[in-house]
Amino acid sequence: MTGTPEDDPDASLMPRIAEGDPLAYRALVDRHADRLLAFAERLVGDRASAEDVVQDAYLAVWRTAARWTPAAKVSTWLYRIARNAALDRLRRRRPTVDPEMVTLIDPADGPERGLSRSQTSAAVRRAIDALPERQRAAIVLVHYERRSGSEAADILGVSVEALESLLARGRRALRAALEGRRADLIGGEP
Amino acid sequence: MTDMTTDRVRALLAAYGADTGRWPAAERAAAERLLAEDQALAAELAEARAFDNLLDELPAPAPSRALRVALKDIPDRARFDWSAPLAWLWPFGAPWRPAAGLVAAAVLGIVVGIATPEPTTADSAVATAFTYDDDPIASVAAVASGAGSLETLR
Repeated sequence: MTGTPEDDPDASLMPRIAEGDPLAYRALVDRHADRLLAFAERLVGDRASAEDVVQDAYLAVWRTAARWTPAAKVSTWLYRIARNAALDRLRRRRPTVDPEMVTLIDPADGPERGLSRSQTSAAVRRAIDALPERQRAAIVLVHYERRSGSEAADILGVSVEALESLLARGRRALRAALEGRRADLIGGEP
Repeated sequence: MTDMTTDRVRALLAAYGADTGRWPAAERAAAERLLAEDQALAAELAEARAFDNLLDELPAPAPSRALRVALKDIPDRARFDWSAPLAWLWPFGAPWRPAAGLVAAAVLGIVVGIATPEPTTADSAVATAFTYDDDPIASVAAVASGAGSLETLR
């Protein structure tokens, strides 16, 4: 469920922010900044860029709050702005490559076994970073941020069916990249 | 009531993983019933759960108090928007272009100023001689010979 402004606790803040009320704006920071930072960090892969993304997003909120329409929940709108800011940064980072199309493969990332937990989390990080941007965003939104399918689809600007396809392809690619570690974790053979 | 099929349950597992809380609410109950009845699907559910656990090895990013402070400061920082007065001063496009021109001119002026040698004592004396003396050639000769005080020249 994407939700409607009637059940959106943030909806009443938006007209006040549009009128320049800093208290309403700061309430929105308190409610969503931590989650947006987590979303951005998982999307762009590093802390400093993620903080820049969240600052860009909230600056856009402060300047363009009047453009928000009750068609979407405020949190959905925030995620969408943050995702666009992240995409801008990813494009600047790799100016000659479309981040939505590329899959980066590190030749050192072959299946590995018997490694520590921190190494496992680093491998998961690398595997997620290597996903094409839209698959990565879909996985981050649904698995890590626990957004509903319809809200994630709304944030990414795709249908629910297209989102499910992105999720399935993303999970398949992650499985392939992490095959050895998955066997370690469940105690079976790779 | 949704018409749930094993294929659809497999598609849900492939997309959303094992936690049915992530599955579309409208399909959840019917899918869970099918999962409970079908041994093969239950095995696939366990497999998907193990993979979810692996993904959860990636720790949640920690919140940042400093970022929160910076975010809350945005209304104060954004209160004075420099773009409006800059546009009034330079309505012909990006203001960094004329600013860069001014900076380049200033730097060039400083470099030329530093590179140009300062006048020597003799130069000053010669200039003084040309200004005050009735016989400039004799004055210059006097400077060149080392007798260069103003009194001597006069």
